Formats: sequence, structure tokens, C-alpha cells
Amino acid sequence: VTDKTAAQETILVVEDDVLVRMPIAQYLRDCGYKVIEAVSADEAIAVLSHQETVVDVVFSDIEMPGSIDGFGLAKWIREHRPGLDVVLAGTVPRTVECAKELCDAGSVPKPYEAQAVHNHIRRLLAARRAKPSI
Amino acid sequence: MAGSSVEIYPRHEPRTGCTVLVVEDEVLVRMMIADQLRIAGYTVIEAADAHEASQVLQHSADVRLVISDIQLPGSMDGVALARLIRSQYPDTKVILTSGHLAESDRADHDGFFHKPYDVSKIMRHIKSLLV
Repeated sequence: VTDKTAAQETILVVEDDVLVRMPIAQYLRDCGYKVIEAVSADEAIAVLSHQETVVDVVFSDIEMPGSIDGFGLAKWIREHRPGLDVVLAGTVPRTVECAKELCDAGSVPKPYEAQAVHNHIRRLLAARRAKPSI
Repeated sequence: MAGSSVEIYPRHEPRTGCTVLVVEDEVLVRMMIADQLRIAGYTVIEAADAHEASQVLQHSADVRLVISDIQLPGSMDGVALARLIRSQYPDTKVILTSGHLAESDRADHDGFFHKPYDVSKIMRHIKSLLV
């Protein structure tokens, strides 16, 4: 599954369940991405606020403990990092519907197939590469 | 700016076949030590607290070494995690880290590093434990 073109792209995976986060993070690493793991939206914001850390795509669960959930994180990103692509994953149909307004290229329903997540991210990054640099 | 800059990542060493579990609640510290371990060729699993770590240990039989902070949120700290590992996973090495030197003898371990620690010293120690 190694994708040479993905070697320099970084995915921030935000998921509070370690047994869900661990396999998807490892799968994306095996695809050639650099993956940063965050267990909450608060941790994700700490990573995104760290100037030296480059992130290309955020892949976040919607329902998470902490001060804000995946929707709150997506809103924070829209406000503070408007150029960043966001993919939300959730189980409740209503929340998945709402996610379409907040994230790029729709949402990913849980439980998800790792390959489907990778395809989703690959499409976003391909579209990103096609855009002129900001 | 995201997406417009190209970051050059260090070349990763060939995979060692060893899995290391990093237990640290400070995301930027966890990210840094996990990065260094992956560059050195280890497979790294990240946990933000001892509860997550115990879940990983139950489901991943091949964890060779756990490096854990002592101060962790939740009902179990790094000392309790080290005791659990000694009793249930005796073949797994344990390295503890803490900002308080006095905590170094609160649990049996295979190494203790006072925070802020020198990452290169930890890497050398891990390599010596996993030969």
C-alpha cells in the first residue's frame, strides 16, 4: 500500500478510542503518510497551534470527550487554519449529515474500512496538489 | 502554511521488528519521542494514559518495551502501570519518566529518566534493552 507521493504529507488522526486510533494510524503510516495521533480535540488544537508542525489533513472522530467534539474542532480549524482539509467520521446519521457542511468531500461513516479512509484522504490531497500554492 | 511548504523528513532506519508503547499525556512530548523511535526503525503505539496502555497490552502481544510518564491522568499512574506490566507481562521492558527524581524508586523498572530528558540518551538505552 506504500504510496511514494504521500511520503511528505502529514495526517493528524483525532480519535479517543485507542483500539480504533491504533489500526487506522498504522494503516496510514503503511500507506506512506506521516501520522500524528491526538486523543481529543484539545490535543489536536495543541498540535495545530505548534508552529513547527506541518499538517495537511485532519481526520477526526465526531463524538469525543473533552471541551469540544469533532464539530467544534472543525469549526476551530475553519477559523484558525482555513487552508486545512478536514475529514470527520461518525456513527450517528444526523451528525454525519451535519458533517457535510463542515468538512471536505463529505464525511466517513463509522465503522469505516481503512482503505476507504485512505481513498478519501488521497482524493483530498490530489485536489490540494492541483490547486495553486497559497 | 499547511500544504504550501515542503518538509524534509529524516530518513528512517529499516524496521527493527520491535514494538514500543509510548505512554504520555502531553501530546507534543509524545509526538516527539514517538517520531524519534519511528525514525530509529521501531513500530510505535501511542497511548495518552495508563488505561489506554493496558488496553493496547491486552490486544497487542508483541509490545517489547513500554516507556511511560509517571504522572498520568485517570485512576492509574505510571507506577501502577509498571507494576501491572511486571506482574502480567514480565517479558516486557519498562522505562519510566518523571519531572520528580524522588519517584524513580516507586516501582521496579528497566530505566528511569528525569524530565526534561535527553532523547538521545533514551534512544541509546532502548536500543541496549532491545538487542
